Amino acid sequence: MNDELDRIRKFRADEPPPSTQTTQSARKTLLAAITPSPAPRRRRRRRLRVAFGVAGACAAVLVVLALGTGSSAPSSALAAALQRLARVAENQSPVVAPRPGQYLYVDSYNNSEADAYGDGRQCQTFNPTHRQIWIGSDGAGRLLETTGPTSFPTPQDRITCQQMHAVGSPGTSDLWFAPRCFDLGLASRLPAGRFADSATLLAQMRRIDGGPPGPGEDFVHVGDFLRESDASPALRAAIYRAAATIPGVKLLGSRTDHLGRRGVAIGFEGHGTLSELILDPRSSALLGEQTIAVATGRLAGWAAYRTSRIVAGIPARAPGPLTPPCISGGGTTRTVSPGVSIMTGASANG
Amino acid sequence: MGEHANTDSAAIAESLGRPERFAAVFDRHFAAVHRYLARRVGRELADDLASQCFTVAFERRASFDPRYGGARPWLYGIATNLLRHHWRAEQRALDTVAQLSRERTDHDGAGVRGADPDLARALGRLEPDQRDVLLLYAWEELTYGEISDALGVAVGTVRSRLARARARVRAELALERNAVTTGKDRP
Repeated sequence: MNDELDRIRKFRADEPPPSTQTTQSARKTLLAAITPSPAPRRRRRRRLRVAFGVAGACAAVLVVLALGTGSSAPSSALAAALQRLARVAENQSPVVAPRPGQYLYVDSYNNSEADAYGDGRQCQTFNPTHRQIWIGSDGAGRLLETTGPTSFPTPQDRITCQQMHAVGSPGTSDLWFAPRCFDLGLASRLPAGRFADSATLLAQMRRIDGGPPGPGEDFVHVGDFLRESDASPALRAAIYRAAATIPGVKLLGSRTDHLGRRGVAIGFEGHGTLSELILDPRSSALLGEQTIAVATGRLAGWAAYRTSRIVAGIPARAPGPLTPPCISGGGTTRTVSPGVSIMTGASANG
Repeated sequence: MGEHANTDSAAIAESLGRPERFAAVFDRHFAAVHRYLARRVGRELADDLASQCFTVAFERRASFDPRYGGARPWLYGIATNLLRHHWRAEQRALDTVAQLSRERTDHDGAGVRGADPDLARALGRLEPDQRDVLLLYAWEELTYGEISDALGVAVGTVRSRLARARARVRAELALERNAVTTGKDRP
């Protein structure tokens, strides 16, 4: 006697799946809960620009500077230091963007504060991560992250996190992406040709990278366009000159990054944190960055970029077909084996 | 145990230290949870409730019991709890379909696709607890154990609620058939 069950199963069985817009909206709401901004004192840095969701799925999250309201005018020392870096960049050979079959490869280390929430409580952890990323010209790629043992900024964080079972395990996350799932680089979206004057360039970066206007946000954009970036030497030069015009940006002098390399640092202080970019005076490349809580001097996170170059391929076979491509604003991640996932444009229901 | 058992548990466990990992749970299950909610209360309300379901799940992820295996029972449990605040909406939706009966008769069987007015009336007359169990069983194909996990009741309670719900629906449908056969108006 299953007649009634059969009829129940057919009842409204033609209900279609949620629209892309609904799914996107709900995902955005969830990601906002995942990365809350309880106070305007700091914001999460945009490290990985992915067409859909990967920032939520796999980006190591660093907590960095907040929107700043610094009003101090840039110093001449800052302008001179950045001008020197700009000249170094301008004298470099143009770097060709990855061609089909090639990838922008960036190898970096970071150890950054991450927030865990649950049951109305919050604690913070540090998760040291070795990060390797390959980004193809078609937006396909791979993100390989190896995370080490968790540490804690304070003994109380350790206790709270352990009570919340919020202590992550060391391990490897290997995420592969179909075409159009990655966004190759912010730089490629800038108008071709000569780069505009600093004010126009900052406005263009703001429009591409998003976010509200303000000097703190502009400094965030500088970092976003330099890390894991396809920025050409000419663009780097223009960015350095533009950074010198952002109110509140300071020359911090010599710094050693977390791989022991010396560079010149610029920074922006806002809402209790100082965000620093460490630049290589010889190559003009971004060596590393760090964030410091101003009141305590505590290091809140750091990253060091070991390698950034164009490579001929990804040194492994994809664990499955990287199809279909991601569609605008849409993609699904599926796990193919422990720690190994693929993101494609396939719907959640396959 | 669901097909995503290990990966759900792993994603939720990892999300305790790295909250962004929870997005994988959303990617796997949002469409199914949304569809379940839409079948119960309509798409418009389902949009809100499905979104709310995953936000609540994220906030409560520390209490996720990995013995559940996959996240489906857990998510459907949260969704069902959210539905309890909207039983009037569900009742209205069922009543609307039930009202189609007369139109269907008047128009020689032309009804709304997927609608079953007699069944809608029967479902509308169930106790909410019985309806929850019946629809999780029939629509989402959860096992007794998974429904038990989802609703936080004993497996024996799931069995008895399901049996009573099915018997009630059978009786209501038989009554409807009888009413149609004898040409009487429904009560």
